[in-house]
Amino acid sequence: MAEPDVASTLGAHRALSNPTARIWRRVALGELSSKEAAAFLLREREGIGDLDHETIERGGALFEPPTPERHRENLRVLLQALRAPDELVRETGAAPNRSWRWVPALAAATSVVFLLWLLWLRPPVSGPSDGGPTFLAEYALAPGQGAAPMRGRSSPSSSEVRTFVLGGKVKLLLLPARAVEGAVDAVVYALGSSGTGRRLPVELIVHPAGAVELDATARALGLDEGEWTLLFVIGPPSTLPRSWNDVSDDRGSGSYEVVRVPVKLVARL
Amino acid sequence: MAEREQAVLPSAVMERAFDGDPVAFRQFYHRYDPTVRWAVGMRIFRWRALIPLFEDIVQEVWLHLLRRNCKLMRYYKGAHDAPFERFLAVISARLGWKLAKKYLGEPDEELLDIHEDEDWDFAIRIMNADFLEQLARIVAERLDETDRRIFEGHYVEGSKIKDVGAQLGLNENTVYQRKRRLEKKLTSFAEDLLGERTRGGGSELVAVMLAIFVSSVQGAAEPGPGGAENAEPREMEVDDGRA
Repeated sequence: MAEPDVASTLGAHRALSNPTARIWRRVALGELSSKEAAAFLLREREGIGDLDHETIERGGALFEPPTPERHRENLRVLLQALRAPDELVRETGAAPNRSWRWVPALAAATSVVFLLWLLWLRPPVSGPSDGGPTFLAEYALAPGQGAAPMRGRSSPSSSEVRTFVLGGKVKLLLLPARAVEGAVDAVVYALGSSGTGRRLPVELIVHPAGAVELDATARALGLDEGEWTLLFVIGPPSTLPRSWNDVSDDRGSGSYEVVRVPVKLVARL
Repeated sequence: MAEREQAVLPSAVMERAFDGDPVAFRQFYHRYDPTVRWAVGMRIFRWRALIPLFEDIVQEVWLHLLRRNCKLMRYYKGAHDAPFERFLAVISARLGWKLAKKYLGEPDEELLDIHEDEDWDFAIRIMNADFLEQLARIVAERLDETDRRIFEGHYVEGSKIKDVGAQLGLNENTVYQRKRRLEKKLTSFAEDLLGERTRGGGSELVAVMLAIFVSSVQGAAEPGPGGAENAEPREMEVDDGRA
């Protein structure tokens, strides 16, 4: 049994049971607007605890029902997921087990789902070559990536080397500082001490809001033990350089962004 | 502000939806997407950085729910006392919180990998309706003030461990250690409750507690797939206009 299960489940139950949650639920059901809910909560001060005015107004907008277009898109993606990728991991038994054997298949299925999702959501590509705007999302590595620092220390800065074990997984998440419009694609190169980059044979996950995720085993990257710079090239699909020689500089050519993440692969921590 | 009861979705429709019938799933999604969005939203609306990612997170939660032939949702087989909607909300809230912490970079052992296998067995077992309410009461009665505040801050409100520590005047390591002990205590409380239920098993007591719980929980009017046979389902309302 996983001990956090009880605490997490009870915590979720409690979080959904307070008076504020009931008001937000009515917003989610379309019975109240977020503004009405916020006004009610602030007037009644009902169960809002230490929430400030801004949090209530800003956060409350989350609970508004999605637009019909968004709802339709989301449903379409889920129908696709419901039909296709679970073939890889479908099981006959219903009882949960602790087996980890299905993890690779599940990871593959997840990637397929996200790719399908992306394909569904992609509008026509509009990049600088089409007269589109300059791509400037200001990607940065999300905190807490790579080998965890000692507890009690703050998260490492973006320039610090992330350490991964060769026998484990490399998971990195890049978040845009601003909303990304249109389709985005990403590739990753590894830069060794020679200064020459080579494209890594892994699919990056690009989330609909633009977040870019590398989730692969260290072995799958095909890199040896040692220090590397992972170079993420992110931008509209039509603008991405086709090879390492076409990658211009750290900021790209304005049509894509380049994010460098120093990593260290070790046999063991 | 009275709450409006939500329409019951017949268990047969839900079963077909879980089996991949697109028409049934469309109905299921119309009916329960607000629940999933609400549950996930409750876990992340405090975090400004997560608001632009909300749609992503909700969609990821749905994908987890659909995974493995809708396995998580199929755990609800009518053996559980909570309405299906509540069951789905708690599961969605848990998944949403894990994803939120991943995006926030919270250094937590729970973050190891949401895609990896997770033992939901115990969580599902304690998700019987009266259990969580009993457990909540025990938490309020038996935990000391510090543990209670760690539980409220981290598990209920979703604050980071270091932020909870700052509020308590404790360093992160201390809070982390206390959190681990707290998890063991809660698990022990839950095991005791499960044991008492197994040994005592008074069906009347369970029924009374269930009735109290159901009446106290919002949106508790709906039975799930296994309970629908014994209920009087109202006419299904599906808002086709939304899609």
